[in-house]
Amino acid sequence: MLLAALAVASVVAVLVPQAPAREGDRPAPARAAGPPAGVGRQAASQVVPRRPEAVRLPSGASMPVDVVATGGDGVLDLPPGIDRAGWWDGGSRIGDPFGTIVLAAHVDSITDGIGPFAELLRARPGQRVRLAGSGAAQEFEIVSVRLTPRASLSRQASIFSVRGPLRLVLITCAGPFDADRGGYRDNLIAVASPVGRRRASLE
Amino acid sequence: MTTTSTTGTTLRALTTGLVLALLATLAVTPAISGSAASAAATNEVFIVQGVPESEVDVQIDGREIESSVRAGAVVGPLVLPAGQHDATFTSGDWTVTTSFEIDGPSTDVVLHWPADPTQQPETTVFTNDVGPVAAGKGRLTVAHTAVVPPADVRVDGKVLFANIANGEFVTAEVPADTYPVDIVPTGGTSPLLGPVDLDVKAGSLTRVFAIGQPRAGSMDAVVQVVSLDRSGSGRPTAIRAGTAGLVAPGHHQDAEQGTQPLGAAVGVLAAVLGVATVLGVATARIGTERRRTVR
Repeated sequence: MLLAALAVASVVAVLVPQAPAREGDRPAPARAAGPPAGVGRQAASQVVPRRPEAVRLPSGASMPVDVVATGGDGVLDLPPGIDRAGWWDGGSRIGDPFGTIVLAAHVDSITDGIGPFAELLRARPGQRVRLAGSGAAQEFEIVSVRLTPRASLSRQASIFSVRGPLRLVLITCAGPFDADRGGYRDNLIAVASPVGRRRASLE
Repeated sequence: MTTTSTTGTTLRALTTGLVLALLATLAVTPAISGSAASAAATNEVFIVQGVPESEVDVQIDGREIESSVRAGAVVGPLVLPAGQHDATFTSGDWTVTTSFEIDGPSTDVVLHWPADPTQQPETTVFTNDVGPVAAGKGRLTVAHTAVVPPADVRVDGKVLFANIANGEFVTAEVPADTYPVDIVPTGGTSPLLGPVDLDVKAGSLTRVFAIGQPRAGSMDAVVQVVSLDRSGSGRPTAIRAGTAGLVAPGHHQDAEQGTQPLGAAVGVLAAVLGVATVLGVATARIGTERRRTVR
């Protein structure tokens, strides 16, 4: 398709000044106020994406989900402890059409022992995980579980992708542990696909 | 009075008989990027001339903004204070006067035919979501301001937005890409508009207005692009999610093996160490550990 050259005039915001009122003047004749314009409405089919606020794992155990960000060192800044999961703030949300929703949590800690995310080491395709947030909820079905060395996480481009159909990626640590060499060797990556319709939130 | 507008040239795609007006409007202001200090000051308004085959003079609050605005053109951004304003649109055949509210940093005022084209053109006001968008994504909005029944918006033949009626819009945040888009009657397959290649850029709001009427062969799409800030943080290169070594192979329980290849790797180790059972009952423990009760 031939694209004709665009003629883009330099954009300068146009201020529309209001006529200043001066004391002692007669009031300016009122402009004819027309009927109110229609207000564009969201179609009923509109799905408003919501970040997850809780996750229910295959066993039925539930955890709250906090918003987490990547630090300057490239490390995802997880909630401390084992009983809260983190949702990466650069990823997709419940109801987004594309991309990965990334949740991670500590599998264990020295102070608190083994956490709920440890059950992912037993996870199998077909098992269900549910996300909920702000009135929206979505069920997911696990399609794969794998270990990948932590050192090569950045080469797993599909985990943090904006592309492809919406899917949930659950991440924790697993594999051999060496306290002198950064702890667990591996990340456990569980990928799950949405099942059924998103339960609508009312906005 | 000086006015400026952005105008794009139009092209007619020979295969589809479609006129696509493509406009690039860069409208980044402190208000849009969320600076609190300027939140009260700048509200940007765009006027979308969505009535095909007409040239329209535009007045806002009694002042002429631009004359002979052609279909598909987007006038602006105008900077208006929040609150109520008047607009008057005059063509050779009709005059439309309307009042509208501004209550956000970015608003589109669209002149278009209603669902019944025997009436005068009408005005619909859309508040633009100019909040930040995740890296690698663009926010795509499609608004129905055409003389067609409720419609579906399809991408590559697959319905992305369903059942949008005249005066309604839908929004989604999608990966930056070029999308073959068409608009079909809800549930149908015969395009009312398109397919055309729609370029959605990362870090932008791409607004598409379907305008015109099939009977007059004037179906068209007006495309307006506004810059957005980025939300969220960059991709992690490392996830450290465990400090105690309690689920390492040989550290026992949770020993039911998952799927390949996880099952293969851990299963082999477990078998060697004689630890794992399906029910997670360890036959050997190394050291002691506390097990957190999972509620």
